[in-house]
Amino acid sequence: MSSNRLLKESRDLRAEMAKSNDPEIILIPDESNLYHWRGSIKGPEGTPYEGGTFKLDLSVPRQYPLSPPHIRFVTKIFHPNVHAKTGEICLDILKTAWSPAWTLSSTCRAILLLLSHPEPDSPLNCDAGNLLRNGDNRGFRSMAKMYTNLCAMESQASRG
Amino acid sequence: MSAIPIACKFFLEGKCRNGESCRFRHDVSRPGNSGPSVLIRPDVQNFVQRAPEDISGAPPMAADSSGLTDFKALYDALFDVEEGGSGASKMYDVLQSKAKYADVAGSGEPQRRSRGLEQQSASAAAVPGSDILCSFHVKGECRYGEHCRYQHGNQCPSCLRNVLHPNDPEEADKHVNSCVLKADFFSKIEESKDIDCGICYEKPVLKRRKFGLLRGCDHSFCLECIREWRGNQEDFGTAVRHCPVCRVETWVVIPSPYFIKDEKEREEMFEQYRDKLSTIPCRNFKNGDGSCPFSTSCMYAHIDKDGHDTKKDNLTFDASGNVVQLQKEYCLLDFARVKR
Repeated sequence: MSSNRLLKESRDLRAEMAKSNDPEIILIPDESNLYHWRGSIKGPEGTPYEGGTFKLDLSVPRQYPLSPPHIRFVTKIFHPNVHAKTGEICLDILKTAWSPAWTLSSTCRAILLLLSHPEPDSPLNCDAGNLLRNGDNRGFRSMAKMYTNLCAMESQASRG
Repeated sequence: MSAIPIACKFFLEGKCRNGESCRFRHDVSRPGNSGPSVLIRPDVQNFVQRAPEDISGAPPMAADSSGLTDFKALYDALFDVEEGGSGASKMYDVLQSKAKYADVAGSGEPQRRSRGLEQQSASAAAVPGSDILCSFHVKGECRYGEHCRYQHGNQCPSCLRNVLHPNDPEEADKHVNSCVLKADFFSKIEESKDIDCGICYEKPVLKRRKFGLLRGCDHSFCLECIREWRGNQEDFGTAVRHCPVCRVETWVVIPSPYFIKDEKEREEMFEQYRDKLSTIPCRNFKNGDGSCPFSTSCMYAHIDKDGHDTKKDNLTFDASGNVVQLQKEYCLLDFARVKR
């Protein structure tokens, strides 16, 4: 079941990406392994991540879509729900609230939403969580912006 | 006594029921001139078999060779065909004249349905040939047209075959009803052809799978997919009981060969399914030997060795059939049943 569905998703994604010039989400499976994908998402406008491109690493279990894909950030990002070192993401739909109706692309869309709406009450990155929980929005934004400039923009520049 | 020098094809298969009296050759060792295939065209064979009725219209003959002598003309015609030349048209003429003769003889005479009956002359019940549907007309066209001795049925409006017996409206109605149901069923499957499963994203109809419908919402899944997902409870807890798309909680997956959007129809399908399940003995209950964790909410039959439905025994009803007291456990399913 999983490989058929992944092939279908890959086809749909290719068609979707071909439609827009600058897609928010890019997802490409490894040439040799359909269960390993690489992706990148664009920082949403109006957030400190704006202008950055964040690389993702997706590994899909064989039971997919009955179990969720494992997704982590490759690019360093300052966000309360993303582990600063491993890039692990704390998002309910990637764990217990997973549903087989989610696709890889809709999951990435959920991650984009997480970037716009951080959840400081269940932090993986305590520094970011503490800044937000103590109401230091300005401090959080400037830190996040700095990391975006340092890591996410650089990767884009080196790619281009 | 093989009058026709063609090997009997039933004998070759080892199941000729005519035995010694068969008019076709049973002695396969003798090199026979089997002749051109035109000889054993089924319609000719049919004629040979029906011939006695046609000619005589008389009381049936016993299983002996005397009947054969009457058909010398016919066999001559057949042999002409075999030896080549213009036999085919001649034989057709013979056939035609016999058919006419049969018409003249009238249908009031007792006639035999088949050769097998004709041979068991004494006991067989006489069935007027006019009551039998002409099989050629059913399949398409009968070349005898209105002169055919057999009944030409009316066309079924649904399957467009000429199968409705004019003298048996009850049977005809039954056929039309079943035909309409069948057509309805296939049109529903046709309509569900383009519907995707919300889990594997493929089309259940094309995969020859059943749909698994949820009672609470109108999302579509393969039966296998949704059952597999709902069996995933170890990892996701009660989340598996929710629709993967809209997260409405549902307790029952209804198997259906086609997709049902309408809630009422879905409920009907559920009731059908529940009724079917309630006839199957629960394998946890084991006729009273085991214990079922679902107790009174179990959809399967809990019938003990004395034949009591223990689920029903746990409820007390008043005169109008309403539940007044639950003796043991509370069960929504039983309420549904009482209400009905």
